[in-house]
Amino acid sequence: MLFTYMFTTTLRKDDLLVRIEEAFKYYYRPLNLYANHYLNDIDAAEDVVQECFADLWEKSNRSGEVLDVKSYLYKMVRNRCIDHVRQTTNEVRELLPTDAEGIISDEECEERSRIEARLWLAIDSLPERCREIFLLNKRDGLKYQEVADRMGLSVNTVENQVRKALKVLRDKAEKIYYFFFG
Amino acid sequence: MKRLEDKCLEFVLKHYKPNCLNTQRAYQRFLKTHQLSPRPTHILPLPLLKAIALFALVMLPLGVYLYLQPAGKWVEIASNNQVIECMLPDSTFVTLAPHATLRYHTALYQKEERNVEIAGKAFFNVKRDAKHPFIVRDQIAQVKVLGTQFLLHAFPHHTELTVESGSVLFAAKDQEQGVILTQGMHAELQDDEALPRIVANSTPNKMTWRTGLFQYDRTPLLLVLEELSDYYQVKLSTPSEDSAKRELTGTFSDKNLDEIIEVIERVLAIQIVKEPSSEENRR
Repeated sequence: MLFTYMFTTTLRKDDLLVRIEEAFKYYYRPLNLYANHYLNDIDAAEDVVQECFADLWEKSNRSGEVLDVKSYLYKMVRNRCIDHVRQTTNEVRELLPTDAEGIISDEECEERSRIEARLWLAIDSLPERCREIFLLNKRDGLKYQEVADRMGLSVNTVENQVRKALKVLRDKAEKIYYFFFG
Repeated sequence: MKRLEDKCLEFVLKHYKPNCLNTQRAYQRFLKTHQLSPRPTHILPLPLLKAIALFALVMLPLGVYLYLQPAGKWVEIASNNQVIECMLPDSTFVTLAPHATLRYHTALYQKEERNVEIAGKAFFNVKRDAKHPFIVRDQIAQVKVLGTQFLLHAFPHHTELTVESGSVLFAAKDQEQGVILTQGMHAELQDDEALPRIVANSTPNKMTWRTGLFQYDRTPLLLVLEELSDYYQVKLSTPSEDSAKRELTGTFSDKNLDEIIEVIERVLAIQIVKEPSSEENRR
């Protein structure tokens, strides 16, 4: 779903704000995950993305028209991430996006960020206890027995909850798959 | 593709924190740093919204009007050159004189009232129905009845009404007050008057166009000749003053004027002169 909005100086401030809000709605989470591939720090990513939206707002208010908001935002997030790393670490080498296994391409990073945003939202949408069990198991690498002990639950319950969480995520991921490539 | 999803999930799980990446909160933060108030609730651009609102405002009453407007159609009956008889949906019987027009709406007729509109001369034999008053309107007058027989003649600037049986309320259009007429009464309404005037019945044979009969009962010959002249669009006169005062009693068919003249001449032993009508203004 490629939302392309015309940002022109002739637009009234209200209309601009409407478009900014739309941009937040559609790109905020993906942009954060995109930035996170560069920064590996979700809080820093949020700051960077926030700055980029501020930049978009000022630019469209001041002068320019931003024809393709999505590309504009992705490009700006990338540049700011690089700036951010340079400022904080004094490293000069070229910064490339990574995942758990290593370096990935920028295009793949952008593509993944959308799926990841949906997965993030899907995890958000899980019931609290289910999410907690799921995270302990999958994120923190605890075994079913360990999760059961910590939560005071039976191993069966933990297993069921994890399976339930995975099913929710898979359903959402399938929807994403259909959404982007179908 | 499963592999890509797994990679994505792995990455998300590694960094996932609850209550993080909240789009609404981020947007609020954006508004706060730029000292903006949240946008008005409308989602569409204002000019488009205004256009839609205006459109709805215009279309709504029209829609309601069309919705409330009962289905049905206007029925118009015109008599052209002949006398025609017609039956309305409630068995009211109407006889239209030549060049008269009757109009009613099929759906509105009998809904609350039985409304008809008339131009020209017509005789009504109204079916009795106390729940649905029968109302005839012409350009200037309206006649309200429950069930009766009457003759209405709508001229361009005045209306004449003759009641044959029953009673009617004769009023100017859109006026509450009127004159109640009963059997045998005759009234006229001018277009500049608020109330009809009851007048003596000028000619005894108002219904001849319908019945085809002239009936005279000790009628002065002058009146008879006037009426016949009017009916046949000729000028009839008698040479002597004396014979004009004679009285005539009898019934004639309206088929043949010459026959009528001959009979009158014989019965009263007088002379009648027939000339072409000098009157140009035919009714």
